Formats: sequence, structure tokens, C-alpha cells
Amino acid sequence: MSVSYQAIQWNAHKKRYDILIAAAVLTYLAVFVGVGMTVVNQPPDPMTLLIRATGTAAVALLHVILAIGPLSRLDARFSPFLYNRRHLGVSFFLIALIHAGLTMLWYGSFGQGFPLLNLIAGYSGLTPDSFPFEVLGFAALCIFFLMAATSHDFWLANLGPRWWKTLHVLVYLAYLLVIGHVALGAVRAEPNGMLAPLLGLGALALSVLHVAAGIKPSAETGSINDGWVDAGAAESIPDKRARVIQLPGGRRAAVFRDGDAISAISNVCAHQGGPLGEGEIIDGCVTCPWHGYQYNAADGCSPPPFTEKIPTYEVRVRGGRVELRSEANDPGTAVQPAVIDPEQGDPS
Amino acid sequence: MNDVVSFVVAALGVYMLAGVLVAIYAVSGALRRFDPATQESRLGFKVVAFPGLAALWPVVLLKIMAAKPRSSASSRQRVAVSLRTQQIAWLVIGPLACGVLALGVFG
Repeated sequence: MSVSYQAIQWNAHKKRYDILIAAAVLTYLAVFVGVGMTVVNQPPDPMTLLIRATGTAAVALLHVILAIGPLSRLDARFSPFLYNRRHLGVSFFLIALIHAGLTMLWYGSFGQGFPLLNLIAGYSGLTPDSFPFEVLGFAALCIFFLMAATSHDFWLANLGPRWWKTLHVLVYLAYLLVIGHVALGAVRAEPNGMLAPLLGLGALALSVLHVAAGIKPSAETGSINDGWVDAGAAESIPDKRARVIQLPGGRRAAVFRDGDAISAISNVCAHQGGPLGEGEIIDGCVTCPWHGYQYNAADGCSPPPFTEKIPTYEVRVRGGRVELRSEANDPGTAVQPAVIDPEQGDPS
Repeated sequence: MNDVVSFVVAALGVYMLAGVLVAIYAVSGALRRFDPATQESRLGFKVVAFPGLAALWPVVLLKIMAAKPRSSASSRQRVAVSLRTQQIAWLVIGPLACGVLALGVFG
């Protein structure tokens, strides 16, 4: 988290996940090239097949990556994928880089002049039939490079969340460039193939997922009485999980239940602004679903030696209902958790 | 068309070469001046950070130049002089390197 930077923040879970990604990608490449060489009549050479295999793998992975965010918002079972999305993104970039490298070397005379210039030398205009689609792919690759190169926490800390997020929103522009690259390249080369319908389906699915995730309410609004905000029935909050409450001024609090104890903290993770209320309590700590940053629910502090702090809220249980103060405490302020009385539903 | 792409590619090349110089300077010790958390980081982190440092070298250079020296009171003056010298040197080296590279590409 914040003590000193490591090259890659691996743990047992992330290692298993990365091994799974590598195995899946290698299997896909092997099957694509193997099937292409044995089943298809007049098969292309193996290098062309490998270029197509890495290209299709990269496009498929890009769709998966873009779908993870809305999917995890719509269904918490997808949260583990969100937790590992950064590694998936870097893996995707490496595959796209291999695709670009192989293409430029294979079609670019293996180093006689700059390969990209060799590739576009044969184009004569900017009509769809003669548009240098490689340039679109190169532009997208430049954006993906920037994103992969700045994916480390060092960059988040030094660019600041606002600039870092702005930089990474460029993925949507890169996605459009990739669609253009494929549409003017592979799709025009084989207009009757499956690529165009699959890409259209992918774009449609991504649009529907993002719209659905945007429509889904992510916070509840409670009535305010004398500075206390009603956060609903205590028993209805799932154990180790939270209910997100919209507070006056647009702030959001995550009300967590850990057994019979109720605590409330800011819904915004100090790392990348992740939605803490969509996370869960693991090993006694609230764990952000985005990158696993952890906080003690009672004081909003990360466990030692880490130093992140988030605001906390005074909380109480009355008549079985949770109430929290509308004003936040300073980050790291300890608050006694409220306790649900299992027999009366009242505070102990 | 080819001329435009040639120019863009050459400009990118010049930019990246300047970036490599700044990134080498940054990982060789200058990073800790604006981010103390890099102080105890190992070679692996420097390798991972290198491409980003090269790509965003103007940001890195500005942060290095804007950072206040972190040193003990006894050596503060000496280090400050040394850092000022480095800043001035890099203000000259950066544009000079870019100019030389541009001459090589377009000359």
C-alpha cells in the first residue's frame, strides 16, 4: 500500500490469477494457430496466423477488461475480477505489443527503414479502401502504453488522482481506435467473416452493461432527524458487508456490519477513490473491491505499517435501525462501533 | 501522407530519446527528491517505473526541479548547490539533446 514501492504487488491470489491469464492466453494462441494450420483449406503461413491470433486475443481481452467494471457494479460476484483488473490490463497491453511488433516486422521488411513507415508506404489516399488502418492501431497502442506504464501506484501518487484518472479514461478513445483499426483492416479483408458481427455484439454488450450499471442506484437516501441520518434496519445489512448511504452535500458513507457491530466510514477509498461500500470485511478489515486497500472500520485507518486514513462517522442503533451522523469525523478518528442487541434490536 | 507520418514518428523518437535520458537520471537517485517512498525501492520497481518515466519525462523533470532537497542540516547547503547545478545542467542538456537528435533526423 504506502510504505515503499514494489515492482509488482503480488500475493497468492494474484499469482494464481496471473498464471490463469497466461495459461488461457497461451492455450488460445496455440488452438488458433493449430486449428488454422490443420483445418482451414490453403492455410496462411504460421506467422500470419500468430499475428491474427494475438490480434483477436487482444481485442477479446479488451472487451473483457471494459466489461469488468459495470459487471462488478451490477453483481458483487464479479468483484474478484475487478480486484485483478490492473494485471489483466498490463497482460492485454503485452499481447497487443506482440501483435504490433510481429506485424511491423513481418510486413515491414524486418528492419529496412522504420517498420510503420514501410507498412503505410503503399497507401495512396484516405478512402476506406486505402486508409492506413495500421496508424489507428499504432495510436491505440500508444495510449495503451501510457496506461500500462502509469498503472503503478507510484504514478497515482505523483500525478494525483484527477490527472491519473483523466489519463486512464483515454481507454475509451483507444477502444474506438481499435474498432477502426479492425474494421478498416481485418474486416475489409474478409467482409463475410465472423469478426464484424462479433465486434458489433461486443460493442453493443459493453454499451448495455455500462448503461445498466449507470442506472442501478448505488446509494440509499435516508431521512434526517436532528443531525442523524437513518440508514435502515441493522439486521438487513449482510454480515461483513455494507449499505451505502447518500448524505447531505453529495458525500457517501458505507455502513458496515461485522457480526453484531456496526461502523460507518467514508465510501471513498484513499487509493483511487474506489467504492468501499461494495467491498467486504476480510481478516477484520474493510477491503476495497478495486485494489484490496484495507481499513479498520472503527477508526478508518489502514493496518500498520500502512498509513492511509479515511473519515469515519458516529453511528448508533435505535429500535433496530442504524443511524449515523451526517457530518464526517476527521480521517482516522476512532469511533466506538454500535452494537445490535439480538433480542431487542436496541443498542446495548 | 508519408511525410506527415514520418514527421510524427521522428518527433516521437526524439521525445522518447529525451525521455530515456531523463528516466536514467530519475532512477539513478533523483526520484527520491519528490517521492520519499521510492527511497527503499529496489531494482524491480525502477525497471517497472522506467517506461512511464521516459514517456512522461516533462512531468518528471518539472517535479524534480520543483522538489525541495531532502537532506540533513549539516549538508543541506552543499546538496542544494549540487542540485541547483544539476537543474541548470539538465535545462541545457534536455533541449540540446533534442536539438542534436532533430538535426540527425531532419538534417
